[in-house]
Amino acid sequence: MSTKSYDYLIKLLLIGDSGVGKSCLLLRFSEDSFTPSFITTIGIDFKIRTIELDGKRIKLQIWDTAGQERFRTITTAYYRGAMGILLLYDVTDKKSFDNVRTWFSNVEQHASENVYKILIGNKCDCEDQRQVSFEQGQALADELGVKFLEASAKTNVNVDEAFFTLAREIKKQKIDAENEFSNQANNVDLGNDRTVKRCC
Amino acid sequence: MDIDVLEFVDKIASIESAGDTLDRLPQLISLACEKGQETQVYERLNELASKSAIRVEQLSAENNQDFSKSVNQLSVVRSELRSLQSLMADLNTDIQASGRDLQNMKQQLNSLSTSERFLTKYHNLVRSCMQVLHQVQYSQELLSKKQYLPTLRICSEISEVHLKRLDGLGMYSTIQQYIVTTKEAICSAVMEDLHEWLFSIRQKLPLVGKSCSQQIDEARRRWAREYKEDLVNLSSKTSISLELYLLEMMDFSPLDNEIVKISFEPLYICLQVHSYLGLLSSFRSSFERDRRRQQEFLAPKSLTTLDMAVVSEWLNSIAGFMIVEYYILQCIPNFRSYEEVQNIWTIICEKLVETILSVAFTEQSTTTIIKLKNQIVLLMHTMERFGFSVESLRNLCVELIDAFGGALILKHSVFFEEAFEKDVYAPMIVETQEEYDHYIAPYWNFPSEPFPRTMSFSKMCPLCCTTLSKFVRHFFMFLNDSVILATEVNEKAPRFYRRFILRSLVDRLKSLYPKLALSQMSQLVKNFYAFEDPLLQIEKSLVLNKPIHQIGAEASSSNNVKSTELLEGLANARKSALHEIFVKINLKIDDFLGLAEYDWTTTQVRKDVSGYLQEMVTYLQTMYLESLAGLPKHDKSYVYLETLDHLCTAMVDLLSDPSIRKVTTAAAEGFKLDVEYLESFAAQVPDQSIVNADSFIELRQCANLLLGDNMEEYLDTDKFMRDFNRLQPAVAIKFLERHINNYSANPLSNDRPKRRAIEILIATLKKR
Repeated sequence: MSTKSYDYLIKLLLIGDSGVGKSCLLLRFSEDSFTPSFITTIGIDFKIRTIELDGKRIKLQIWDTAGQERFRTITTAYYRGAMGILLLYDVTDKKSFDNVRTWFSNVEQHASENVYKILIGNKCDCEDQRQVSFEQGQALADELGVKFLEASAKTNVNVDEAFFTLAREIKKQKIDAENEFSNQANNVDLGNDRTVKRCC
Repeated sequence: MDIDVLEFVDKIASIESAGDTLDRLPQLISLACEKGQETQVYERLNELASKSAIRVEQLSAENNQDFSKSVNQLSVVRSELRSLQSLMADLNTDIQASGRDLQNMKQQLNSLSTSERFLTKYHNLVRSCMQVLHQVQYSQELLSKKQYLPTLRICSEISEVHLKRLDGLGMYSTIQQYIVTTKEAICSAVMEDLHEWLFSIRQKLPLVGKSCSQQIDEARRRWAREYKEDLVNLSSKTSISLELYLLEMMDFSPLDNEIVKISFEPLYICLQVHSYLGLLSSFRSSFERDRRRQQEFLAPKSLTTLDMAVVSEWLNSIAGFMIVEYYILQCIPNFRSYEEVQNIWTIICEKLVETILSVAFTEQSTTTIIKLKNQIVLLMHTMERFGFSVESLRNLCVELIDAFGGALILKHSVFFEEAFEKDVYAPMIVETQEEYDHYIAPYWNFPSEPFPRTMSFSKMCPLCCTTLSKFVRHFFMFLNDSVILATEVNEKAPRFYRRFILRSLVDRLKSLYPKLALSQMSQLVKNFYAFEDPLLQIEKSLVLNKPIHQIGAEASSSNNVKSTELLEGLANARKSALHEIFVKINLKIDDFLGLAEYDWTTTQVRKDVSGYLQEMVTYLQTMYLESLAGLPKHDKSYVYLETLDHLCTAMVDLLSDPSIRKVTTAAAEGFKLDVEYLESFAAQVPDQSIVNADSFIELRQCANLLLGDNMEEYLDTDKFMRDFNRLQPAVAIKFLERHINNYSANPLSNDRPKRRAIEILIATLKKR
């Protein structure tokens, strides 16, 4: 087995309307920088960042999808490989909030059945332009059965929390569960070689 | 004299008649007193008396009766003699007193005579003195009225004529000192007057310069109106006609007009005085020193920024100063040397050039630089009118073109920055014909298409072209009406144009590469292509000196003017952009390879391609298809080649990891599956201009070597070299060493031939 620089790999996916700040959020998380100008993502992009959770090195591969309709075919191909999905909307853009349900439906249709999801309301620093309240966001999240956070890529509010929260839940529900199962199997098959197959 | 007195006494004694003797006594007494021989005369007389007495006694003795009678007579005589003696004594006393009085009177008389002579002399002297004093007083009156030359003439007259009469008197040196002092005072006074005059002139210099410059400017404007048509085509305009025009039309008197009047009288007086005193040479030297020092005060004490108010005052002062010098040369021949005046002018110009250049290149206001240039050109024309060389000033203006160009670049770079910042780095969509006419039509010719139209370039392209057009027009604004600089401006315009593009556009965009996404980089490549035609057309108009508004009309004509510098700049920018593109893709490839998880010791053969590889290929396909869309085929191929080559190299490095000690056949089979997958991907990459699958030949050979099939065939090392010609010897050795562990070292084993072959190969490769 070759030596790896991480213990576990977690793949995340960012989705949402064009212009809500998916790329900016990812840039803030991965490189701690911000670009005010709007840059349209062409097709698909990703960034890598390794974090530490409970003493384990977790490598996060975070896919950044293009929000424009013409790239929909390309982006949906990456849904299935995602272990967690961040649904973004812009608190200053009511339309992007209303489209969250559509994005949620796409997730239901194309992603793995047990994918973990979180709703993120971005640009929360623009209070004077706010069109969606925190309460509205929380209500929608409750309705969809997912966690909710408001964040700001510009002012670096709740950015790390969003990704860490998702990663922590995924680790807890999948990786740790697999380890527990492995331990149980070990107890049952005393004296036999372990042949547990791990999947990431 | 003594003999005479005694002889006189003897004569008296010889007189027979007693009365005569007595008559002679006063004379004797006077003579004795005059001679101072009273005692001697008295003694002589006593001797005579004694002798007489003796004779009387003898006579008495001879004749008794006669004697007695004689004795009686003698007694009478004796009595009379004693009376006579007493009278004589009294007379002597009186005579002595009279003599003293007479002497006193004589002395007084002599004294009076002397006094009379002295008085006459004194009278004459006093008259001379009064005359001198009168002249002195007159000279002082003249001096108080500042009539220096008449004063000097009077002093000379005093010194040469009147003063001679006073020779020997104490007053002589006093008057002489007065003359010296007066001359010195006059020198000081005229010099003081001159300095006051120079100071007053100094205060008027800006006014002199300004009024004269205004006249020159008005003449220049008249010339411009008369030759208005010629100004349209600057290349045919020569400055010589302007200079001739200024010489012919100028009839203005700078030092004597309604605005300013400067009289040279103090200088004339000073010259006359020093000439009269024979000090003209030293005065000339002194004046030269004064003028040199005075010109030093023309310049501002410090000029850290281009303050036009200060500079304008300075330039006008310079003009005024040199105009005064000119008229001094003209009005006073042989006083100021032409060389000295030219030398001062050279010094002034050097100071001006040095000072201006020290601040001009840090000035960011193009308007200020143009104003400065206008002022200097006006100074040039003004000074030329008075015969001063203006070559250094002209050179200064040429330098100012560079300063202006630099400031202009800085100013317009802001618009580039704005265009870069606001650009979305995506193809520009033109919605209406008006929009097309505004942004596209001036710079490109495209076939007609219905709206909305999608351009290949982003919006920064027309915005930058507009900025460049403005830059060019603004650059020629430097000329204003300064036709004498037309040649240099026309010559420098293309140079600054290219510099502006290469520095502020190309280099600036290059600096943005790290911040841009892959698709944005791709758009930049397309933009660099789109820039070529309009940028060359604008440059062509500069080289051929044609108006900017004709660019569009000539866009379809053949471009005979080739700018290799500009084209190379854009080509280099594209190349570096493409390089940045594949660097960004390569970084992603590295990220994917960082996710690779190969189990090199597995005994289970994989049937599927590695997950990370499938994901990577899908990603690369998206990048190639979407992000590189619209690029020319050869540019795409360049990116393909570089990225696939990088992928191959990275995977070979992955295989070469020292931590991999053994690779099972099953693992090797799985890796080969991955290699075949990559080869298939490379073969399907769209718009290929070369066979990209060849990029993985090395990797294919690595996979084959990992399998190690039929190693006994390679006892012939040449065959091995042919089959694995793309592998580095070090890599091959490493792989072979892994295989050797698969076979038993037992000489009796069936694997012995394979092991032997591998050992020979390793030994052979190590020798290379």
